[in-house]
Amino acid sequence: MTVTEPAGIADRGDPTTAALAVQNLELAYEVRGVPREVLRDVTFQIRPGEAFGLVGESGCGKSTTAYAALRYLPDNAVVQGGAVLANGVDILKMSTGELRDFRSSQASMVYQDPVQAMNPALKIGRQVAECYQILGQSKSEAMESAGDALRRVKIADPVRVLDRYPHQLSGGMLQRVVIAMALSGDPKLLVLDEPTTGLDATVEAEVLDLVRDLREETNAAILLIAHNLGVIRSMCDRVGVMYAGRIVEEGNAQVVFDNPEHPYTKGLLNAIPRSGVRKTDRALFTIPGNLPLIGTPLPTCVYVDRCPLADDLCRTEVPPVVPVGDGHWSRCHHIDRMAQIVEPDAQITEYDIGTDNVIQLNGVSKTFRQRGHDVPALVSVDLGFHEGETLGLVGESGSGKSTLAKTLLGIHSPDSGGTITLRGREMQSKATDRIAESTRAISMVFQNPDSALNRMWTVRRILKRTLTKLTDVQGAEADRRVEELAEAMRLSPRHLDMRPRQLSGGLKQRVAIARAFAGNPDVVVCDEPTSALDVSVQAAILNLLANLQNDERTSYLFITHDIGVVRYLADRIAVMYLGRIMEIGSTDVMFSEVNHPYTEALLSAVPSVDGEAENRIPLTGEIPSPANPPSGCVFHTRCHRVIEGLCEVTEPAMQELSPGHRIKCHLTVEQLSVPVEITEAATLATLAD
Amino acid sequence: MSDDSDIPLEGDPTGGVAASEALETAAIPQADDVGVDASTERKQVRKERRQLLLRSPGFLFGASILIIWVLCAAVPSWFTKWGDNEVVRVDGSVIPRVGPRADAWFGTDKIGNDVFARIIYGARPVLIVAVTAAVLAVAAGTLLGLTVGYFRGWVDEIVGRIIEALLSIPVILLAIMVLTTLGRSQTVIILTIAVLFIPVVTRTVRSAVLAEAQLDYVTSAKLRGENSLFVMTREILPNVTGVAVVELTVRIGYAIFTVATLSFLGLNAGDSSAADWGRDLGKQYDTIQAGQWWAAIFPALAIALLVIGVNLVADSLDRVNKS
Amino acid sequence: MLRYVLRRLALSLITLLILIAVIFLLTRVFPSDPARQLAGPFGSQERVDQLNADLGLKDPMITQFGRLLRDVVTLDFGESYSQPGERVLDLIRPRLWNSAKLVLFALVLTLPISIVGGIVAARKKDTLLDRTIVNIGLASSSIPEFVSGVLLQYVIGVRLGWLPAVTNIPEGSSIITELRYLLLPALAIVFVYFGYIARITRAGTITALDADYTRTAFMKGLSTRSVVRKHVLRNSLQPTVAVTGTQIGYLFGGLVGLEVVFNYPGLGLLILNAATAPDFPLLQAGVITVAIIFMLCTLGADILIAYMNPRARMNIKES
Repeated sequence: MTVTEPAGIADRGDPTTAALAVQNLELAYEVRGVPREVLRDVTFQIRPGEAFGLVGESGCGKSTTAYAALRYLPDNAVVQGGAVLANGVDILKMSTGELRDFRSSQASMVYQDPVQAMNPALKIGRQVAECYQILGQSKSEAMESAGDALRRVKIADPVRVLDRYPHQLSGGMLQRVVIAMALSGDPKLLVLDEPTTGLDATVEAEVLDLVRDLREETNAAILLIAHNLGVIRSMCDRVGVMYAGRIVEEGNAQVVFDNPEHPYTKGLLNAIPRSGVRKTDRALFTIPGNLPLIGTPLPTCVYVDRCPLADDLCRTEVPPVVPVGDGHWSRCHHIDRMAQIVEPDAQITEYDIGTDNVIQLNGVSKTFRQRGHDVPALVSVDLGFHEGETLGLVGESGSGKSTLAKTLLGIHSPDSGGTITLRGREMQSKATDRIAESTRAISMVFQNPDSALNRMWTVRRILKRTLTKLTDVQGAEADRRVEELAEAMRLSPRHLDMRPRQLSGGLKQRVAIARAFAGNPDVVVCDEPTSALDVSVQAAILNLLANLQNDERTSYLFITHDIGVVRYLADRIAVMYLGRIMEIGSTDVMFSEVNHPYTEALLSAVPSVDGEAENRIPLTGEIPSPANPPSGCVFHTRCHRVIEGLCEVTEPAMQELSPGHRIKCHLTVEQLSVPVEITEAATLATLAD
Repeated sequence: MSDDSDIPLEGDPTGGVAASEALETAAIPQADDVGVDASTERKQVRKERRQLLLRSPGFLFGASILIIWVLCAAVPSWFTKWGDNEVVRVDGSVIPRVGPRADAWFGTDKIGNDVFARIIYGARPVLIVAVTAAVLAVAAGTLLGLTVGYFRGWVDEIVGRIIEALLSIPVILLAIMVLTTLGRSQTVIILTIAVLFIPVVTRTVRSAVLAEAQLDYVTSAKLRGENSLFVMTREILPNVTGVAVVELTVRIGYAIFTVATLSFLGLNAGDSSAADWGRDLGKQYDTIQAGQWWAAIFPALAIALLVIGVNLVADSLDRVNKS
Repeated sequence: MLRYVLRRLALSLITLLILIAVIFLLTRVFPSDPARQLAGPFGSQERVDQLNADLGLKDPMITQFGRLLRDVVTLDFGESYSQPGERVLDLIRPRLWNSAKLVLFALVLTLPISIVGGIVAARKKDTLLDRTIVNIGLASSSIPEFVSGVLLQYVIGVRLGWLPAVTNIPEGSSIITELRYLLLPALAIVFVYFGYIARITRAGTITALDADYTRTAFMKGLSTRSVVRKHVLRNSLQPTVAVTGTQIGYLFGGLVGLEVVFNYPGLGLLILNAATAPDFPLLQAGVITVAIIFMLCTLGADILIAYMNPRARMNIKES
């Protein structure tokens, strides 16, 4: 069933001189004696010095491909055909000794979770030095080299870092250490598997900058696996788009992202909120259906079941590899019909937001006691939001976003002095003390639906219990309402009698949203509701949330780390840092006027799918501990516009730049408009304490 | 430790991230487009679990042993013509201390009782005491673990310390202390073992509850105004029953262990002539020196076989629970 | 590290205090009339009154509890009831030494084979070898130690006659002779603990082999042997250490049945006899000795774990 390789793939050059040439790789995992295909005829090449990206949703086989490139496969993996050439040598045929040499000096890897990737029981120094000992250095030489290696990845104080255990370092710092280890043997091939997933955007940007610099310095070929298209675009020369174990499109990264020639690539790109698109402009593109289960036989086009262009030809014949430009090809029968896939129309024509504040927080603070120390997690927060409004809340992890949400919900009780009012009436601080009306009025959608839904309950029971608990609707009427609710979430009636683990991630999140809406709430707190989902599923959830809001005039407090998502959905955005709101303003204003220096850095850190080159502003150092916040302006330790003698002494007041747009900063609009110069020192990673 | 060369294609004897990726996707039944309704899905899951159990030789072996012992306990007269206290007479005369032979498969003991009959009759007391004690312990421990694990706070601290203290002495010593002061009726023995097993059950259930209480569904229930009793019994409890069931089987094993030991030491309930494996072993093991092994070895094997059976079942249940 | 040890020690002392209270409850509060028990059913009322006065049994409970605490601190539990004239501590000391000999000998036999067995099973996960080790372990650890003791006694001691069937070690024996006598009961302990420790080690090793840091080590180009030695064992053996610590503690007093079978004068037998006598000072002292040893063993294990794993020093509560 393999197609003869056409010019599109073959003209990439001589595979024996490629840094990595994966050729017709077929791989399966054996589950209970039955092989289940995970990689189908995967073929690509990376030339020396080239950066190649693989994108696709979870389960598409991109990580398996990455690990196959270093022959690190689970016991039940069966290579059914093909070859993996590194400089002309097939690593699948190497002896164990050759493979070890290959890994220590030819190729290396950077992993998704740096905290787990380091041995918790050994000091950093020992783990880094080990890489050099493998290369034949003595213990003391290796320790010397380890220090140099950390300097190379721009760690400001290598000696102290070497003496620490992994749990004493932040994720960003650890990822630098992992990169340092990966570079120890001057590898010709560097495989990065989701290297920045799970890191804050600011830290992600630093790590990506580092990899970019090191790539110029070492001229290593790079295989980058990422689900974030922006990361791939900003890092890679070429990109391969994977679906169900097969590369469906390959080409120059910019060309592919600007002019996708496969329906899947196009669907993926349209599903992401980007180019400043807002919910008032159009709905997000969704891809119907689900990724096929591993091992499902897909004899013809792997995408046929979800493709809007699919016809009988697609169901009967394997699509050929069609060259569409210089080194750009697509596996599709209908490249000529790509224009038929159009972006959806505006879904929300009129969008009106009330003027009354549904919720108003005044001077709300929250201080935790930890080991005898006061840790202020929220400091005098004033915030209100209107009926039918979405307020986006952004900031790095540890900025207090979740604490704010939990305080509003009554999970944490705020320090005395602050008040939270619902439609002008003050609410009890603890959820359990609140009157029924307040309990009904505020609900929540959690980040992880697996945790948020009781796995022993059926969907029907989950929804009915919430409905009858929060409203007067009972009995048969409640059953009818549950069915209506499910229908509004586009859940089918048969889903009602299932338990959560029988549902896919997107369906589970729909159930969670249905539950949040069961009491017809005034305010729904959404805590990263789509961050655990693939982009095509995320798009459907965001569309659903936008529609529900439009119909029910519900207010959202929407917590997210994804600037694209918040820009799409939010009417106003608040930026938090160390428990304080540093900036707040309408979404339009936030993306057009000058910003607080912290917001400025946050926005510049986001890698764009559209390729708008932004001047990235690095944040110096790590986020300070809330237990010991800096004096004056809490941001002064990391600020690139700091005014010596002022910012570290006096805490700035909120100033209004334009109606509704306020920042907590000493600087004037004129001062904020001056472009910043980035110093070399600013890119160094320093220890937190 | 073996050398690298014994690993064929893959360099590493472990499942990497790639494997977990594969398993994860394989494990999620994506119901969106699959045309099965919920009840068949659920039956499917139960069927798979049952098949997993029935395909495990350990479970089959353990379960068969248990079934046989339970039958012995229920209707001993099916298996032997002798009563447990009946003295074996051949041609009108008592025959004590004879080795295994056709009319006394396991021989006879010092008094002349049929060892085989005593083994059959001995299943009942040990099963009654051990199962009742384990059920009581698991019920009480689950309740306590659920409560302290859910409420935390100072009660949890105190209960935790007491549990820690009780677990620092072998159960058998505490049982000896209690039984020598309180006397040793069957009720006292059952209650003693039950009470002594509560700490360990509480600890197991508590840690399961702690993990559950962290999950957002509990937060969600509190946010819609459910009271603590509802959250504990309706939301959390169903999610820790699997743990409690495994704990029950494990505790039954240990309870048999403990009952047998106590009987062996002479701390048994009931009149001293009733069939009791531990007691019989305790009374007869001195005959081993004289080469009359049967009266001691068969009760020993009976105890071993029963505990092995229980543990094989417990182990299989645990594995199915975790998969 | 020192702070960790001190805090851990403080916790142990609190636990010990609670335990002493429990023991006091069981020996002084529940039996309403220990003097009557001592005097026996036919003892005269005068004798009972005399005993009550001599032993302070009619003092307020709190005074009696205070006295017990003082006894623990000074390690002086007074005279035995059942063997008048004998100091309790002098009765315990040789028994403790006997128990220690048996336990240590059994450990020396058990630990190497069960740890190696567990690691081998983990590395050959789901093979026939693994299944065999796991199932033998499960079966052997199911059998009460006095049952396997009787079986070993019969087969090896009586039938084959290879080893002494009873541990009545002659006075002044050499160490070798002594070990020969101890071998049978020690083997019975090996039976119980091989499976237990092998299974724990296997589980820990499988977790460590599956960990991301192990993958990192392989990707550095280390050989399987180095990966296991330098990266896996340090993490995988932590549960083994914890369990071994706990079990050593239990072995000191929990082997009552085995000591009866082999007629071996260890702590368990002493406590059993003290309980049936009844000899309250001896019983209390014996059980408290077992508890203190348990505390020391788990303390040692926790310190070893803290040394192996720097993160364990942080969360003291969970240990």
